[in-house]
Formats: sequence, structure tokens, C-alpha cells
Amino acid sequence: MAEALQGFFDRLLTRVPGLLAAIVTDRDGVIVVKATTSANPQATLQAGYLASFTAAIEQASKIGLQKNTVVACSYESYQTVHFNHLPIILTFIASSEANIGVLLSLEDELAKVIEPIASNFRSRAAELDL
Amino acid sequence: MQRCLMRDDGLSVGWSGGWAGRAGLLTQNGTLIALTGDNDQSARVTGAIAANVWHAFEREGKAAFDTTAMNFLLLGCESGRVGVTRVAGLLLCLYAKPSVEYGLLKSKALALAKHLEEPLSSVVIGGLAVGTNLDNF
Repeated sequence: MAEALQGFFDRLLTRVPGLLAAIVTDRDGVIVVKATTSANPQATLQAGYLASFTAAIEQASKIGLQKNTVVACSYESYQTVHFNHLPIILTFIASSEANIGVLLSLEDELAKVIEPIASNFRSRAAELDL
Repeated sequence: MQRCLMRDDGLSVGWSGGWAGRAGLLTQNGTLIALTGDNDQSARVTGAIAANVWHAFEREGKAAFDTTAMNFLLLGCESGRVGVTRVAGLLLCLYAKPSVEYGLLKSKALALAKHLEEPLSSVVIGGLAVGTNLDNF
């Protein structure tokens, strides 16, 4: 399972031009799976950075347009896309030249891969009464 | 003044064809300055949340990417999309239906921001400070 997941995200880096990293984390920013290139800034792999999105994404769900599914940010040299499958968050880091539309169009495909992990996390959390 | 700019000049240009038809101009702390469309009450709430999310992502982006600015933020939700960008020290917030493509929303937001930059710059210098009394604005 883990190898298949790693292989999927490794292939994604070659499929999407300009994609620098694909990181799957839990709500605390703990990395579950990651696939990165050498051009990806190391700071994006720190738990502090990855954990900071949980609160923002949860807040975005209260904007009055039902559940937040995706957050995309455009910076000077980079772009980030965060898919909300809480308790799992999928983060993509891409260069500013990357086609974000390609990443957003992968939403359904990614959901099929991520949802089994997310439901596993949910059931474990329920068992542990977290 | 901002309300006039937004309603009469800016948004009427391309605010049709599947758009939700609402745009807001916010201060850095999320206070609503101008709004096109209706439903003022929910716009105040969404504006405040959008501004808060903008600052959260901008702060983390600065730390991680060592970059000075964030250009655009998209919040994709089940029943709509929100695009946020900066204009003259303020935040421009566009609300669209989920069928509106990301690229189109970004292009419209950046084009509108460019359009409003000059007139807003003449009345807003460096953005409004937190706690600005908007009654006299």
C-alpha cells in the first residue's frame, strides 16, 4: 500500500510539469507520504509550515459556501495547492510557471487515492476517541 | 467613493455569464469597505474570513519561500469559489459559482485590481490601518 502510494506521487512529479513536491500530511502536519524534487524549498517540509494550513482550511469551510475542498495560492516564484480531505491534507508545491489547472483537474483522481487513507485515519481516531 | 468605483465602472464590465455577481473591497483586517451585489450581512462574515485566510497563507508563504508577496488566493468550496488579491493596500474579494474556472477567476481578479489600483491609490496610502474609523471614510 505504502509503496503504491509513493509510486503514485513519484509518477505525479513527472506527469505535471513544474510540480516540485507532493506532500500528504495529517492535520498536525505529520508527513504520511512525500515526493519531492531537488528544487523544492526545504522549509516546505517542516511540520510548522504544513500544520499551519489546517486552521486556515477549517476556517475557509466557514465562509458560507459549504465545505472547502481546495485552496490555491500564487506567490512570486511558487504556487501551492492544498486539497482538503481532513484529517488528511494534500499539499502540492509548484513553480510559478506550472499549470495549476492541471493540478486542480486531478481532484477526482486524487480523491480516489486519498479517501481510503483519510477514512482509515477517521476510524482510528474514533477508536481512540480523539 | 469605492462603492461607486466598483459598481459603476469596474464590475459592470464583465460581471455576467455564470458569475455569482458579488465582489467586495476589504481592509487588511477584513473590514468591508465596498460591496457589489446583495446580502451585506454574509459578505461581512465571508470578507473577514477571507482576509484572515489570506494573511495566514501569506505569512507562511513568506517564511517558507522567502518571498515578499502573495499575488492571488483561491478558496474552492462545494457551492462557490472565492478569489482574493491585493489592490492599493486593500484586499479585493471576488465570489463566483463553482463552474467558473480558476484561470478565469484569477484573470478577472487581477484585471480588476489593475483597473482599481490607480483610483484607489489616490485615496488610500499604504492601506488602512487596523482600527481606522470607517464612518469618516
